[in-house]
Amino acid sequence: MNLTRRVFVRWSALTSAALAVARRSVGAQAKPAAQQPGALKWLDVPSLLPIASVVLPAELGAGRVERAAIEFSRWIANYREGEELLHPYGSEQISTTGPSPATKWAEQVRALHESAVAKDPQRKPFANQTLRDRTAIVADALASVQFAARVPSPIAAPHVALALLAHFLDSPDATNLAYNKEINAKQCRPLADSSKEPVTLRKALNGGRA
Amino acid sequence: MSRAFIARRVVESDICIIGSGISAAMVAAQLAGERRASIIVIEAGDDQPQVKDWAANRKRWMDYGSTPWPNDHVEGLDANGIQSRSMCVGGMAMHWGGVTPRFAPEDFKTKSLCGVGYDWPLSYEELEPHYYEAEALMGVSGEQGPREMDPRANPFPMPPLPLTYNLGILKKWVNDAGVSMWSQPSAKTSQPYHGRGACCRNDTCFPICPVSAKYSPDQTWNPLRAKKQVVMHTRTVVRRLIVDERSNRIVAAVAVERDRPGQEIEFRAKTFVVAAGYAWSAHLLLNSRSARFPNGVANRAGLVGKYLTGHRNVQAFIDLPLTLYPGINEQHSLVTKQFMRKPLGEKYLRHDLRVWESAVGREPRLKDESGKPLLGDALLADWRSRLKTSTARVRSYYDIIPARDSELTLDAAKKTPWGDPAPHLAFKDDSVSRDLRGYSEDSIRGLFGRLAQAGNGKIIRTSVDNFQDHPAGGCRMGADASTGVVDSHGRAFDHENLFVVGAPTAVSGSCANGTLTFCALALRSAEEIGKAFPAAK
Repeated sequence: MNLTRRVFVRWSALTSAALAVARRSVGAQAKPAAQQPGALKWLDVPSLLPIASVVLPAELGAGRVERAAIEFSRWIANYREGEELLHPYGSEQISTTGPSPATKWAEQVRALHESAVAKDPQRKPFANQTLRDRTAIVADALASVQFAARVPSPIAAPHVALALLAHFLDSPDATNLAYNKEINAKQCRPLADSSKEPVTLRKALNGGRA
Repeated sequence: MSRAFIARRVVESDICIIGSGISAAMVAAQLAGERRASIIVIEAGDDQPQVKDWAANRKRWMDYGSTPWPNDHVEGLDANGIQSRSMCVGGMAMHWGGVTPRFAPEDFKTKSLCGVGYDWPLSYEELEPHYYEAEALMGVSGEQGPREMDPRANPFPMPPLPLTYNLGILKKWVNDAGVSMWSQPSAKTSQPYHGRGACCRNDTCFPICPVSAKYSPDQTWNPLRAKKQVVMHTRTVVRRLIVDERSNRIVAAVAVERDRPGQEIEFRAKTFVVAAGYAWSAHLLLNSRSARFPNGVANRAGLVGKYLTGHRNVQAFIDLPLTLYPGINEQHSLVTKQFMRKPLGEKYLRHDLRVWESAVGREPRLKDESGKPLLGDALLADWRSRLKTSTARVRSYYDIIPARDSELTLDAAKKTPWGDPAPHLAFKDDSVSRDLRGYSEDSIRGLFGRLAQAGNGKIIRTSVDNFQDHPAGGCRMGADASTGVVDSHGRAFDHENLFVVGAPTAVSGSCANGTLTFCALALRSAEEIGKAFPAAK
């Protein structure tokens, strides 16, 4: 996410509302999402990968799609409730992260799987269905939630499929893919290279496991 | 007398610095290096994470928005109208952007030159050596601008941060439109400097540089504390200054430790340096009320807390038929001082101009114009279709003349955890600036429009921030006690051993980021403070 200080003020205002951020209470402790029993059962990589291949561009390649699923799964696991947010410039308010979406998202993943089994005559699980069928199931699920054109912060996404997509779109891989250039935003890069046009994305990215 | 007062602990030093932000760090660095004097620093807030933790903290900020600076504020020490809760070792400069323009020579004499505002009791030329000291201490990389706009006696300590591929293209665009721009000076290393590695474009200068390529005050405090050149008392809140009845000298700063709120500490020193920023410096002076000084210390003329100053900005995003790649080094920019000199015969308007790469308008989206959801390849194709042109972010700070009642007052309705009235801040434009506000903002928008037109582009959107950025003032300097709280060295007119340093002493906020100027002012104060102590061997 490209955040300058000034942009952050506005970004923070937007996401604060979406996060249902709580005012910090004295002594509040950040709590890992993983502490919620069962919340991560459906949010492991094998469960997320069939969704990732629906919502992420195929051009990304199987390896990068898997990597996106792994990083999203890790991101959920490492989420902490009640963690203090960077306080915005221009406000005296101190805010913290809101409740973990893990339980809600896990339920949504489970619902995708149940929907797949219910609709398929052979009762194949979601992961074993064709990309076309999985896409239809995800599209059906998204039809029941409201979302805007603007990509939300992952935490504010109303559905796990959108959260996974938003998480990927916030990554350097996504920007590189869109521009077909190795920009590698917010990664450690030689200063001297900044004057040069970024090189064209390596073919390896298109081929899968880079 | 309460038991707490009976138990009051006494700590003595030659110099007592209140606050540990960037101005305090400048003062301490210079005094510790050049004078034989014991120095105590009192900081209400906590120590911040050390560099080894910064990469991990940065990642959590990027992933979840979590603060990389936990406990950088003190519960209960907030204020209506304050712009940041930062109160910690290093202060706000732990998460500043590291941008270090100098003010223009005109800033110091707008009354003489333009007939508006106030002249400072010092000139650019008098401050110039201290600008360079600050640049050297912080490690500033910069490009010399045209000398008539950007006078300097010495080259920058480091070569400029290179213009990115994007900025190179944008520079040609603005040059073709008649605006001369160059690389923004920044307290970031363009090459290894005094133990710091070169910037490697992690591009999160605000709020955290994970490799210390950007200057932050911990880089000054850590060695000073390790060598015991200063003793820092953290989590210690100074509540008031005590004045000797006969000499008018400050004899003590009375503080309370947050961990032992029942016990006060009396810090006694030969010289007191208030370096607590634009809000808490004036607050401390006002709160140091006594029977003899019912309006607080250093406030004979009633100017403490007055003339809070800063600048507003006008910003726009411009769609241009160029090919840029946002993310190469987004926080670096072009800058010009071309508009910091008021044109003859025109209304008073002085502003800077900066240009950045931007991804605004180039973001992916989840639905197309018809509202149809976009996923996978369809989303990517839609995203790419909107990358055929590019976006420039342009922004100008414009100079605001502060009103006398642009002020910090004591808020009787809101108390600190120790029972003192909290500060209340209200920034106000002087009538000249109030009357010129529409003209100023329209003129800047007009400039943006001309830039867009020159590049065959169009404005995507414009905005104006309502708050005044880079706040300063509240203990402004003056030629005498009728116009200022302190003199041009930061020495209080009313108390010979009391100095206020940095942002609070600024007379006006100019139209450029103020931190370097606050540091230069602090170093100039340090030079004066040091005269009372023997030179170091």
